[in-house]
Amino acid sequence: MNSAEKIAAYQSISNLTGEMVKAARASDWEKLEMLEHRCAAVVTQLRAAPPVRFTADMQQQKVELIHKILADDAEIRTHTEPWMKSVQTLLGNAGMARRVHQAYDTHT
Amino acid sequence: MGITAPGMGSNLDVNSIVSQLMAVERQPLALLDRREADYQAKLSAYGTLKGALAAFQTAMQGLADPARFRAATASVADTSILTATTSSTGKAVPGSYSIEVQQLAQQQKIRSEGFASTNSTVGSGTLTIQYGDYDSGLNTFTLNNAKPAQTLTIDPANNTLSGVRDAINAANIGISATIINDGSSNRLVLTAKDAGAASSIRIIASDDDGVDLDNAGLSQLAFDPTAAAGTGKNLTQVQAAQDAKFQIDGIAISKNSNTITDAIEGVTLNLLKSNAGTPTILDVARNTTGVKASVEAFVKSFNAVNQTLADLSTYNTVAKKGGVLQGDSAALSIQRWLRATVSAATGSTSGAAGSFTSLSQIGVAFQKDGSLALDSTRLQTAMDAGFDQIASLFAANGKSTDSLIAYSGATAKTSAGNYAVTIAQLATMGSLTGSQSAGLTITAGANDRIDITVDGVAASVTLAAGIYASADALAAEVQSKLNGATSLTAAGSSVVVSQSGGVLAISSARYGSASSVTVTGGNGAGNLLGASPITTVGADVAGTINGVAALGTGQTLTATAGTASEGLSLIIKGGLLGARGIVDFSRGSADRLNKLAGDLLTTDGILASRVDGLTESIKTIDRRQETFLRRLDAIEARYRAQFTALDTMLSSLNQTSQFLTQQLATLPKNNS
Repeated sequence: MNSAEKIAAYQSISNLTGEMVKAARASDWEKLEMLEHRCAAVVTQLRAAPPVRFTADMQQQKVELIHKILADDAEIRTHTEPWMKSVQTLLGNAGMARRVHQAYDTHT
Repeated sequence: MGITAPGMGSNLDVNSIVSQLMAVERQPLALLDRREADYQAKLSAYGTLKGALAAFQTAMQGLADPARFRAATASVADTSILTATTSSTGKAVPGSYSIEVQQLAQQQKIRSEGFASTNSTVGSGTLTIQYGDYDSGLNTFTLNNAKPAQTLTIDPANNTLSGVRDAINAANIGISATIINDGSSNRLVLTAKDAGAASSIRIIASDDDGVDLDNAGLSQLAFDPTAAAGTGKNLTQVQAAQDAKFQIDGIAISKNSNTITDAIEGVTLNLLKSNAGTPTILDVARNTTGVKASVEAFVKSFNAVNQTLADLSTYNTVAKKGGVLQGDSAALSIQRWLRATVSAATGSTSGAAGSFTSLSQIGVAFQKDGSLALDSTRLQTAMDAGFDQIASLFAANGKSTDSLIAYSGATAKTSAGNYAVTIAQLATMGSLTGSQSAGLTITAGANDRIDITVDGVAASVTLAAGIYASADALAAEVQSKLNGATSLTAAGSSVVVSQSGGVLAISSARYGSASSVTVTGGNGAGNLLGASPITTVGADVAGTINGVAALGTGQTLTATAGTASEGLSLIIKGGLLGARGIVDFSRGSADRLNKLAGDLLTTDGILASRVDGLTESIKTIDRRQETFLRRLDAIEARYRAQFTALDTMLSSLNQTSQFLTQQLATLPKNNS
């Protein structure tokens, strides 16, 4: 993977996280998950590639892309975390309600 | 209710979805629980109502008996002379009777001479015990046809005084034996179980010592009241058999018991002491107290079921709460039907003066609150005016204009009404008449046995051997033996044997086509009845009720299905052929309420269908609850899967951000 290809990979991750932010805002968890899969695949490729030298411009471009991606990541979390918390609560409550109902139900 | 799990792809706020889900999805469960509790409460209310109606039905069944309203009481001025009771059938007619008791009925008692010990040997052979009437004036003993002779064998196993006593008692043949020790010797005392002149005892010995009349061996116990003492009359009479003799209003009556059930209809007299010359008074009066109690029981039973209905179906102003069955159409209908049945006129259409057609005429009326109350004064007035009519107001009752036609019963299907009765044929008894005069000489083993079938039941009897004095005496022996045959007594059959010009005739005591007498064999059949005796089968009564041919069985005539009079059952005791007047059948309130309660409580009645419906609804609710819980499970599984997926995604995202953060950290300083 040469430097141009690496920059293209960061660009593609940035594009994907941008899409993911939109999906997270829309609570479209299925799309979010699908995009993350694609994103993780590109990251895996990047990790596997041996280091290369970047020109100063390219380096600058890479830093900007990483900052943008981390900003996206932060925003995605602000959407998913509360949702996960309430689902956790819901699942806990629903399980409890059902167990109570079953324990005291005399007609089944 | 249509709650569906929101798809994860729908653009909805998750928090609001969750809270909505929580609130809405719980609702139906609570609602179903509430509805089920409602149904259970109703089910229990119907159970209470059923219990009340069943108790009511039992009470009405009891009150539907006309005898409850016809009861009479009997009272005697001097109860040391006699006591009197009325039968529950309510046949006693009010009146006053003067009763004078000349003598009480008593049973015969005879004793033996003294024996040294209870173990003294008496002798062996047979003892034949006969019952009959001893006429001391003519010195004759006339056999009692209704009480067959019995023979007892005394052999070396039981030939002592105590052995004979035990043999007599064990045989249970109408006398009891005891041994009385007079200080120096033991005497056997025999007592007839039945009182009355016709239960005098005669004992014929067949002594193994060969001499049947002397005072030695078993013939020491022979007792023929017509023989000379010591030669056949070897026991001594201690107390003579005699009938009760008394007069009712100057009419002399003789009975073989001190308990008399058939002198005054519906009244049982129990004679205790003679009061010759100073008659006492028996008063038979209407049991107004008993009738009043029955009417009160009717009112009480109705009010009890009415109260239960009211408690279940009306608004309780004190508790500020509606009854479980408030507004329930079944409960309202039952209440309405009960009231209507009580209010309805009774179908006593005889139109006789003083007859009642409604309960209000005897003081039973509805109050403002829907309960019944009894006006005792009105009831008393009504009883004074028309006591005999009151039964028809409550019970199912039939009244015949012909005294030889008696109302016997009716079924649930019999409608009230006036039904004309015509009789085409009276019931007769089956009989067998000999084809020639009977031979009076009966020889054991030669012509002493006869096999006869009475009412379809076979019996074989052996006549006592001897030369009979007359055809009457022979007839009495045949009747006595047949009526003593166990197969016939077990079947409840009996015969009357008579003779005319020496020809015997055997008649069954039963009426109808099931009544018959046939001779089937026996070495004595020809001698007694000739070669070709004539069998006449009994006939059932035949006639019409309400213009339609009715079913006759013996003396009972029953109206057939498909007519208003269906099930009406009458007993035709006799009388002429042709039109025989009217039977007025009425259904009183208790009878109709009994039927109504029965209809309400049947397995396809209104209550059963309500209960079935509720049970079904509860089942449906249970099913819905199950489905609901299953769907909650599915929703949960879906949430859980998505949660897990998102969780995995976040951890992957963490790795990505870690990697990127590392990338930033490893940048050459000059480039940062």
